[in-house]
Amino acid sequence: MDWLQLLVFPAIRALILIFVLLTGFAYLTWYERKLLARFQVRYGPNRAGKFGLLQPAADAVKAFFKEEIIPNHVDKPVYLLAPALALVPALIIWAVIPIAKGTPAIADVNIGFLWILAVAGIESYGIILAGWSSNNNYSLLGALRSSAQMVSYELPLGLFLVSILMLAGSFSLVDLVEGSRQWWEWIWLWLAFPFFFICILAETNRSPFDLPETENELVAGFQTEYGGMKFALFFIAEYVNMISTSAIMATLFFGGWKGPFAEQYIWLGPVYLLIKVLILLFLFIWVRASIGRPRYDQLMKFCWQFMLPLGLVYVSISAVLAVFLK
Amino acid sequence: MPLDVAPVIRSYETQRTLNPPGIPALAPMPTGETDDTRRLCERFGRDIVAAGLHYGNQVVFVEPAQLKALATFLRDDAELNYETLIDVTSVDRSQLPLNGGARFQTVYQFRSYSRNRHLTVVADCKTEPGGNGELPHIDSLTGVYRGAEWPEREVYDLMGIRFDGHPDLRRILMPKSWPNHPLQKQAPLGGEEVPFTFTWDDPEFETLGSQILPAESAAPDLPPGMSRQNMVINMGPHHPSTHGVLRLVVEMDGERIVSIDPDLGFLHSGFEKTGENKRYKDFVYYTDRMDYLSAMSNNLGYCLTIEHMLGLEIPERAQVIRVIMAEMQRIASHLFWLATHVLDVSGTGMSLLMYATRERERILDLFEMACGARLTVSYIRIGGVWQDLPDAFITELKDFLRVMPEKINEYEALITEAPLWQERLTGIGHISADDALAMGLTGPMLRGSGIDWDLRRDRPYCGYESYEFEVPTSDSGDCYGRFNIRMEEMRQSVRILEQAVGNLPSGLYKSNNRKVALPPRAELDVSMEALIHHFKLMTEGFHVSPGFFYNGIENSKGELGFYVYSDGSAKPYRLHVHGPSFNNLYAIDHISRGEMLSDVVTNIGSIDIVLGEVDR
Amino acid sequence: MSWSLLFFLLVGAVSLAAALGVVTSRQPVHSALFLLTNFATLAVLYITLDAQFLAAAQVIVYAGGIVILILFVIMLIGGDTNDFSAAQRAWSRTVGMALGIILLLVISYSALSRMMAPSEDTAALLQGGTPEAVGIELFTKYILPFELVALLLLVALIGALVLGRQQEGASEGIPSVKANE
Repeated sequence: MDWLQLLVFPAIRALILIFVLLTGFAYLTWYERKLLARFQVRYGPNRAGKFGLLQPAADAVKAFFKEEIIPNHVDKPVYLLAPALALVPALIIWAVIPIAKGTPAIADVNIGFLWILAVAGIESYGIILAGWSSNNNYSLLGALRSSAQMVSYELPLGLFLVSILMLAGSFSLVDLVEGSRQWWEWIWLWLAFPFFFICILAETNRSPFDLPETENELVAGFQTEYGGMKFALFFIAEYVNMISTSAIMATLFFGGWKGPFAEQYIWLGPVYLLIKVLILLFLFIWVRASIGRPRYDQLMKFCWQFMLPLGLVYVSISAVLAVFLK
Repeated sequence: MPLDVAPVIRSYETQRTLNPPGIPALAPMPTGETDDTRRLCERFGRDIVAAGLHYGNQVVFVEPAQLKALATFLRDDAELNYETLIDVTSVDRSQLPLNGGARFQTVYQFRSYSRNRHLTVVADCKTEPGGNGELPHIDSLTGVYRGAEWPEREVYDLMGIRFDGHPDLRRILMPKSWPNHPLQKQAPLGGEEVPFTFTWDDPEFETLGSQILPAESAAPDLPPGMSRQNMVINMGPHHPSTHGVLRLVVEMDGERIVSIDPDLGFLHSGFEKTGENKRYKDFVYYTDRMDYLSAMSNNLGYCLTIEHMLGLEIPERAQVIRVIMAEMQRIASHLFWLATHVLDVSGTGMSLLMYATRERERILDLFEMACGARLTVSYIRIGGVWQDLPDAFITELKDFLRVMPEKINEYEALITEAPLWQERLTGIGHISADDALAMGLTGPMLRGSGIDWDLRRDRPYCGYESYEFEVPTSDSGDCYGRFNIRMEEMRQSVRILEQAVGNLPSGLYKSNNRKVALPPRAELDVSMEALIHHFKLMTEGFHVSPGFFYNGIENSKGELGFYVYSDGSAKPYRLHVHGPSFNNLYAIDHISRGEMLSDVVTNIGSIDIVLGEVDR
Repeated sequence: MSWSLLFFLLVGAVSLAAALGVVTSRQPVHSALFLLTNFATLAVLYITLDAQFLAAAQVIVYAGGIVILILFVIMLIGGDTNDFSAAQRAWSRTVGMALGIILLLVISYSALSRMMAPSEDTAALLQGGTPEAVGIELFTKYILPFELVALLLLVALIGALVLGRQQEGASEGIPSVKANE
């Protein structure tokens, strides 16, 4: 059946993926709170359920039952659209990530890398529109910061992606993971990882690059005027983004689903991926607990004066390596 | 909208029946002379009404017409060199036997850091009839000392004295429409009707609960000098990083600050007015609530002022306990400053917040051991301290002192050398030494600009002269310099504490003078005299002979000063608190101009304010 | 009617509606959003034509870059909703219409002529809108125009830099955000 193949199976896959991601989001908040608490000599959530494991559920219930407040002075259609626009890219970026041998999450397309770049490109819409439609100075400043920041950091991010792409020789992430790499390739890749990670931090608006929502200056930045479930959507978007980008980094730099016996037992693939994602998420939280925040102009300076030239150099050397050593 | 209320005017109570007939009395004129008063008399001749020493302070009474000339002379004369104006306050003498003297007096505290001199200048205010009574006015000193701007606004707001030539004479603590100037003696002490309605007849309540009332967007009044051409942002009073209920009106061009107008008074509680209606010993509990992060230092500053006026000798042990408490409080306050500063600059995730509060918790535990309270301690009382230290205290404190230096190193390891931290602080909030002096800044704000001054070392009190410690300074004048100074001050405080714990003498923990300090509880059972003393102190309190005195101590934020004017009764006739946060906060506009919005937050943190003290 | 035709009609309708929205909307930000929708539907249409690379490029460049910059500019200058000055000038409307009709004619002509007689090139390209095919064409046959465009962009970049540098000293970062009223 053609339409079954075309529509129903991908739809079911997508639903499962969304379910997994939203659950993942819920427990990522728990994971972050627990870890941050440990970094800060606290206990973290420990009242709802064993080890506070039911805390995410309690939070969800709370978010659902909050009164929906729409301030009078907002631009209503855009104001309501923005949270959804923030969440969608975070979810759809998963479509091309391989989760087991020969199995991408949704589809194995020949533009996997470009897909990542494209989705990264539209990620900032939710924030920028939220900031504008809220009709609030704090929100506007947050939105301007975020759009400038995301557009800027996309450039070095794209350059690093292009380098990896050149070495891999294929646009498909499935091929990238399954293809073999030489030892020098791994080393060359891992050299880029810290810088790639910095770009990812900026792309996901995570601390220390959480300038669009710095509570110390901009109250809550672009989400100042949001409450209840609409606020929760932004929250979900941020955390799903963390998961998604961690999965991308695991795929690009650490072999994705690969691991001992993952070729034979196909169910091991997602497990390995999950472990790698958890370790990368730990990195996110570790950075948050220990590194201060730069100022907005310093952040932009860092991007344009350091990350971008670095990316260009990396791309050039990668090109030479790809031509002469492969 | 002016308030249409008829306040209950209470007669000003001084418990006249209890007072001897000579009370209330005017403060006596200063006697004797010093080099400085002699020089001033030579220069100004008959315009100096009186000059000399009073309670050990140099005091000069000057004709109001010559006040500005005197201030200029004080600042510019090479032999006098009074670089800074610490404080401006005023006295309403309407309840005193004036015999035709001026009702209002303004009182200025000048300080020469280079010569280590303090000078109090008093000037009568000229009055003009007008409005509903007299309008006192006097020349403004803002042209001479820039830092006079806010204190003069405060005097205007609370006492109603107009300052001729002041650039921006608005109310600063009270609401714009407040009907009176509360520190004037005829202003009622409580009993006013609350100026808003809460009756169910109000039409607002018909719709309450069923709908949200349509919010009319009304453009608020802009502070003078601000333009709508730029973006005007309202920071606070419910802003996460204004350290309490401070409101800043920030005018920005892009993310650059054009100007800032702080709006104070949200936490104004009228401590000064309250203090003038409490017996001397009863005001100690109020001092806790001003700078609630350094309650011990506030207790100490107040008690030292009153004790000096009483001429009271404090036992050695009490002195050392006071030093221990004050230094612990300094560490606690600096720890909290560190925690919130890091929080402001680096975000909520930053772990240092919790690390610093963890150590502060230990100090609060120690306070609890000593007096049962953690925040509002009221431990230091007039005559000594409330109770002797418990036995376990010293061991606990020693353990704390053993751990603390490592912890400070730990904090430093986390941020001092961190590039992001340095980037955020270096060069931000720069104050030159001249500006710091002109603005009357004190404490780390002053030392951060390279002025080597610490009241503990330079005008020692409580036996600080017998301790060895260093006063850190920094020439950089920026937030990073002030950060380093405070970190080093914590180390020095640990050093002082170690010395103090090492030589804690045995003996009395409070004065044996039964006319001032309560007799011990056990004595009441066996001694009639003790019972009488107890009764007298608890009902009438003690009297302080007429006079006035300003005394400053170095608390964690700067110079905490108390100015007390006594009329001889059991209550202070005029009680003024000079809060370091108030004067230091004045610098926020100056240091933030041209910087970015993020830097405002850094600057607020670096100034280290406590709104309880700013608003008092 | 096949599934793909139905799909095309649906997406095409959305695309046209969005394009209409761009020109009829009073609020500049809404216009920008309609433009975004238009670009997105175009990308979808490219995918149905097997031109995945073009689709991705469309999203990356237009949705991810251009529209964001447009939004940025709208926010910076405040986005006045009541600016009818353009509509008051009659000639601008006439000229705009004339230009639009000319553009439509040119596009129709080129599209129809291709349809009538498909050249071998387009047939080859239709075989694969894959990155490889696009890349090979770009770097062999169209290398000169490609490099010229690169040069042009470089000039534009340097020009923007020169213009921007004049403001240096006055302000870094966001040059001027006016009150959002």
